[in-house]
Amino acid sequence: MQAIRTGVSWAGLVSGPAAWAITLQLDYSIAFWQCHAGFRVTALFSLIGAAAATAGVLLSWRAVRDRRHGTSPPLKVRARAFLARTSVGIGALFTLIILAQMVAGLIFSGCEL
Amino acid sequence: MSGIAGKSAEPQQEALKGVRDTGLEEARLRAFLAHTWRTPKGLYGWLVTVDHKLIGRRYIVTAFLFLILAGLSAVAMRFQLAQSEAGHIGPDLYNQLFTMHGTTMMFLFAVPVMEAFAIYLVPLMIGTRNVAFPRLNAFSYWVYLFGGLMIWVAFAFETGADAGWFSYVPLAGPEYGIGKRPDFWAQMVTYTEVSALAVAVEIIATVFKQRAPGMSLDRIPLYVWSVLVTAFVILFAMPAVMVSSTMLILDRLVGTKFFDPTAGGDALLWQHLFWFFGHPEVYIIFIPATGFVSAILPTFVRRPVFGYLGIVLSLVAIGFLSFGLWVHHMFATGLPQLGESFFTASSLMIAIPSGIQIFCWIATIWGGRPIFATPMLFVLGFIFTFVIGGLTGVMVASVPLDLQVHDTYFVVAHFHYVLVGGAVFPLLGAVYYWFPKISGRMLSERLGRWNFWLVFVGFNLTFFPMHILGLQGMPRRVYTYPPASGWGEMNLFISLSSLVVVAGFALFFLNILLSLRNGRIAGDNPWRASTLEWATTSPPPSYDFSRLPVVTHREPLWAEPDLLPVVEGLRVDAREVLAGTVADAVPQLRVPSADNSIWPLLSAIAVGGAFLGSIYTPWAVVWGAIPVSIGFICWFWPKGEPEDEE
Repeated sequence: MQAIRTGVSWAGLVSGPAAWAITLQLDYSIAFWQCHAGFRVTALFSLIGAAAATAGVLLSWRAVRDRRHGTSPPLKVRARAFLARTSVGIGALFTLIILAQMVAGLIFSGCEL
Repeated sequence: MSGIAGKSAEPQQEALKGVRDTGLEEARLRAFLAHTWRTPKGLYGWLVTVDHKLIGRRYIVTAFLFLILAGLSAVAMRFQLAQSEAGHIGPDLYNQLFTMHGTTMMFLFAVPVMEAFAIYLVPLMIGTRNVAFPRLNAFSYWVYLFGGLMIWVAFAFETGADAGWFSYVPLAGPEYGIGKRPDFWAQMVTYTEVSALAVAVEIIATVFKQRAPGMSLDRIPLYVWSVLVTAFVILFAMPAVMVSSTMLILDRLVGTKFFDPTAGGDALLWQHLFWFFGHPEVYIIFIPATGFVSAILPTFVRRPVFGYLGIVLSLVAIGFLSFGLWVHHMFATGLPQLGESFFTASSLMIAIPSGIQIFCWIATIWGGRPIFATPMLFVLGFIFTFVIGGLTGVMVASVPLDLQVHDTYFVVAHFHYVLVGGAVFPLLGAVYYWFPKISGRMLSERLGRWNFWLVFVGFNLTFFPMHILGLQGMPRRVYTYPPASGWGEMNLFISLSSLVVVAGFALFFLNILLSLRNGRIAGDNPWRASTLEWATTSPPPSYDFSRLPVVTHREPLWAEPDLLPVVEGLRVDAREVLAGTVADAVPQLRVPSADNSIWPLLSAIAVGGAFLGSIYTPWAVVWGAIPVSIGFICWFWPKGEPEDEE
């Protein structure tokens, strides 16, 4: 709860690349299977991945906005804010990449050779 | 303490005992530190040193020697291809030449030279006295040297690797690989990757823990960010190729069947493992080069780089993304289209962080007052060339186009634009930029301009026509072509143009040789740059800084042009560095830094011997483990030095 209130500076940095790596591997592994399954399962996984990455972005965004620094030394505050901004950017970029992957999953059925 | 008041340049160890730098007069402090951090004179000193600057310098020189060898291989190939059906070089030698060219450029030049600059510059740029794990640093150099020498000696004895720099199976496997050629290639990979992994570990530990007080994450120089990201990419990419090359040796030496489809193995597994390393490898070369650009540019436009956050973000994003593109090297292997399209998506999207960096650099130039000195010319040449390479990269990321131009000269043109434009141009700029710091002398600007224009024009005349040749269908890795193909005139033009590049590089080396002797004395900060390496003398002393600086700004020398605040309290009788917190660089403790030692060299000889022997017999691993263990035990054995007593 505390994390949701104050944000997590590194959340987007972890969630974006991790969600992308997992969806890429998962989608690549089940590309053959999608043809037999008859529905766009890779697109579904990509959507879930994009949601996970976005959650990280939102947490990092909260950390950017958080002004409750208490007695933290200024350098620590600077470093945290910098990390949070970087995380927002990276998380957002990887969300976009996962969505691009999802589009591929919508265009191809998986039955193409 | 007055008894050691500096009349002797070589203070006695006893006299130094317990002395700290607090309040010590500058001249005496320098004398004490010079004694504590010295490298012995002569050959012995050369063999035992752990000074990051000496090791970095020798890494740079060795890497450039390998560049010359690889460049000469390319010249030989162009000589053969200048005419159709020329008979200067036969197919067997040609195979060895293009393999040695690619292998040397990638494994023995590009990656090591980028690491070499990091080894030299990172401690200076972050305000510390040596890299973390200095003996590992020395070890890494020797292992790299032995690996490079091994494969070139093998080439000299007609055992040069000949299956391409990626050594595809089954061509390199037991079925078709000739003699020991692929084994030497595979084992060279093991040497160089051990070396690269060692350097990556050092860089990560150094950047995370040894930054000057005050150098929080948002004040780290962009070049240091770039090598930090690169080090992580090395750490996760290199094991894939080490594992695959070991599997290849096992297939060839002890009859395992990892890559043999007839026995349940999979030839495509090699490509997956190789390119899982191979694509990040491109970024291992490219990312530090972008760091060079971000370091050089602000100095020559007299303003901080635009979009620091955007560039850091891009570097980190590119580092991650580099691991998700490897299948685009395998579009012609018959993978399902859906699977390929995921990698097309990622390959296209990497243009975004790359584009962010390019826009930040252009905005930096736009908002500044450019000074067109030689390093800046190479930066501008980089932007022009790399954008072309990036555009053709987006083209070949598309499966239909890739299938058309796969294995043609279009791809050769593309990756030379990316690698030479994206890495070698900034590297040459970096040499011009930091040569004054490394040698204490300036390179000739006049020769530098000639050097730039010859390389820039020669490069474009050589490689741009290869796009057209590729679109006309000329395949890569052919030692000749029929006159009826119509490729003869363009090949002759390319071969002649390559001589312009050779002339440019000849001027580069001539400039260095002349300037080492007669170059203008540089002074501490000849470019009036902003980062910490320019705060110390040129060349820097063995201890880098007499007192470690405190950082109060992202551009410390512009913010505090007269006198940097410094830290006191470090011992001068023992090698000590300051370790701090990862995020905000708050000092935590004083850490001993290892002294000179012969054991990294002896351990590297033992490791090298074991690797070499294992090309011929698997028992070399067993028997080789004994000297390797002895080497490592002696290396780590406590010596009763000051660092062990506290």
